[in-house]
Amino acid sequence: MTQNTSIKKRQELSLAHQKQNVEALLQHPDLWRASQAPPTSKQQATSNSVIKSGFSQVDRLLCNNGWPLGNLIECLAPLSSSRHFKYGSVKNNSLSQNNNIMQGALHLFLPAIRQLASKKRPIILVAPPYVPYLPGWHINTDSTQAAPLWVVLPDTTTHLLWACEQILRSNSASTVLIWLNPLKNQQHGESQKKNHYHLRSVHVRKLQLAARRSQSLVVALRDINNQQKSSPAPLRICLEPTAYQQKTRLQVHLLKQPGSWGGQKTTIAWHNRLQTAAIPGNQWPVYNPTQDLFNNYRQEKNDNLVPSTTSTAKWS
Amino acid sequence: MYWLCIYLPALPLEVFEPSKQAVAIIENQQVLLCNDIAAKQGIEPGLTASTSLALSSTIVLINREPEKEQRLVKNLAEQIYQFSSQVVTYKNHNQEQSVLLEIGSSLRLFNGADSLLKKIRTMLYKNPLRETGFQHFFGLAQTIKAAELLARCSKGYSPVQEKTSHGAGNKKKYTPSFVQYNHWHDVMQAPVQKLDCQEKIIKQCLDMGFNKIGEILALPSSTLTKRFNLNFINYIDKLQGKAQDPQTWFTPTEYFHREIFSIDGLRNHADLQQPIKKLLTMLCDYLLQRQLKCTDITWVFTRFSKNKNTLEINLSQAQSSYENLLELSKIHLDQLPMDSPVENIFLSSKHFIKKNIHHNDLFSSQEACGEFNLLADKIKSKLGDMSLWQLKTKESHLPEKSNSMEYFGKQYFSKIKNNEINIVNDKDYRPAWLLQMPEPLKEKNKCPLFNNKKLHLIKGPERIQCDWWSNKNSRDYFIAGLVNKSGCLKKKSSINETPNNQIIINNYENVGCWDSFYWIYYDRIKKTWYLQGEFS
Repeated sequence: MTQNTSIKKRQELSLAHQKQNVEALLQHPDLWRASQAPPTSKQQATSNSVIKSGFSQVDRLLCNNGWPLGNLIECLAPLSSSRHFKYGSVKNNSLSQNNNIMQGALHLFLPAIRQLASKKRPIILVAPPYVPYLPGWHINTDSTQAAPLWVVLPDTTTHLLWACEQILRSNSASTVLIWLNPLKNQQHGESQKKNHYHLRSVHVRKLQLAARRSQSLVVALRDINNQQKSSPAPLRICLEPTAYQQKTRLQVHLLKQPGSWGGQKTTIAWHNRLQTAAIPGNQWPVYNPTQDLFNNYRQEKNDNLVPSTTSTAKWS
Repeated sequence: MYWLCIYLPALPLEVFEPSKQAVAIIENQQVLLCNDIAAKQGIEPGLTASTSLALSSTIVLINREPEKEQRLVKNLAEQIYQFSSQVVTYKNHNQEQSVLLEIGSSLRLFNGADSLLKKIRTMLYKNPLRETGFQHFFGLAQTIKAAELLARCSKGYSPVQEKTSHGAGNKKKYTPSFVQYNHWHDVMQAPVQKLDCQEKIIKQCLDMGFNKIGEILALPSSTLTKRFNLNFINYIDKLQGKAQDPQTWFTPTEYFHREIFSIDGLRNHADLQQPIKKLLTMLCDYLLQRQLKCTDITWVFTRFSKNKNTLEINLSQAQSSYENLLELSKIHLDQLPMDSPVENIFLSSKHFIKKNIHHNDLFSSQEACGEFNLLADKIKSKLGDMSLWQLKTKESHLPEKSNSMEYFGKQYFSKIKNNEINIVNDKDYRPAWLLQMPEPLKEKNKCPLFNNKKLHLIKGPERIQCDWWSNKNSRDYFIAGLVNKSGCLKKKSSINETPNNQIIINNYENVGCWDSFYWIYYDRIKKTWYLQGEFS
């Protein structure tokens, strides 16, 4: 009898132990159960590792209501048509070999970037297509510390990945934007085919591991063609400008995300100010640059040259 | 005044890293010193170079390098400086090096002569400058000359000898037991050949029948002055402490400078690791002792062919951490070609700043913020100087001039303008990307084309007119859009050219799918359209 009871007790103990183990496992922050309700706003308030996206529609879709910090966000966007543009002799314009702007991607992340920039940690752009124009970014440049924007220009894909890893490991940037496109190695004069470095999912995985060490907003911008390929990035977004109620809006398609469901779609405003600026055709002013130039030359003759920033164009 | 002399007899050989080959140092075609391997093969000091080559075919003969010896002695003196403030480097008539230090005033600090000598001895045996330590002899006396003489006689004071003669039971702790040790007796008994003077005078002494120094010192001074020259008389007086013996004290150098010589040669990057780590440890010790941080380090690698490779590492922020310096050096070293073996590695650092000691609050949580400077240095080291750029705004009305990219520089963190004025109004709608060189656009019916597609002007014009004194610029800026599908737009009217040469810009009623937005301008002087920027 005593033996039986002791065995039973043992069994009970082991069961209790197993239960504890399972419960501890379920408490793990990385584990998400589909049946689980999405996190409430209260939970969100406690987690520091999230930054508001600045678009309420997008926030609503995201787990913890914001972009996760210290996680790789893969943003797929269509290439702008400028890739067809021939730059000819002027090479200074395009910074890296892939001179295409991910359409709308910056627009989506700029509000979050601005919030983070105030923390006096620099924003680092890796292999951006063009020179960023600071007034267009609307970043607080008053901070007495470092200049807010840094640009890293690697020449090869291996260097690009190395630099990204170093930046993420050092955890010194508030935001890291990576234009994750294969670069051609033109340094050593070898055949381009051989050196055309393909980005594999291993590389993205490496970046994700490095990103987890940091507390910054890490965004990898890639071509929309990569949508069908699998990616180890925990959060994937696809962006596309679409026509919506007679306006062009930016469609945000959440492909997958950590801690919640993926597949949702929403649209956000995209350069609304520009789109509403148009006024009916019959009320449009007439712009006559030649007439104005003529006036200007007349002014020159009278030696009344005054520098001005306001337009003196004639409108009729 | 009690002088301790550290005599370094094997210094010409010890300048080089220990080698696995037979090595002999030659001076005037005669072997001066040789290592143990060479000694086993029958090489001994005094042999001619040709004889030693005949005895051993594999022997490496190296000419003596007094400059390197001098540098090494200075580095040693720097280490010995921790025991006394009065340190002198001394070179005798036979070009033998020794370091002297006044220990009389350091005895209380180091708890007596015994423990001080032990400390110096362990320092010499386990030395970062040389792993196998330095061969040395101690000499202790009340004058510099006497201490040096006794060290060469290798009859100097040694702590072990002291204990046996006097016992350890000294009750007065700080009265040094070595006071009772009669160094003067040893000086008297020393042979005449050990005198630090010209060989001619030693021969003269021997001819006169003197064998011991004591016999010379016993002579009355008048007799000595008759027979010997003034230099020798001065020397004898200094030896006895009768005359002043002024010295130039050693002062530690203001910069760091260490080198490692390898006789065998360092053939690959793996071989370089160990000496580099050693040199960096020395640098970090140097910095730690002085509470400094260095702002730059320079590596010089000399090949057997005397070709030199110099790697300069400029740090954007002063460093004193071994790990960081090692990591940066390694990144630089990867770029070093290893086509021929390296003989000499040299590390120097000349610019230092004082270390600021921060006292962090014990309870406030420190923000885990990595060091951007270190990252910047790493990226610059690996990808080249042209890889890291910094964006700055400048006072100019022209967009391409107001927005400038500058290399990451050393002085960046010290000079930051706080009152940079941004001319551009925040309310203005500006693109996120800029073409530093505006691109001319094709034109069709006075309408700008982009990729042979019509650009639709949306907003504008905004005139920027400046630099009238030099390059006159007059531009009318527009925001233009590119339509994705032609079907999306219902055109009401098109851009027309009126008889008055006026351009009419029309509206699109159902603004459909915009593909992208551009910032373009009409140059009123060149009369062409340009592309300036792109909206994201």
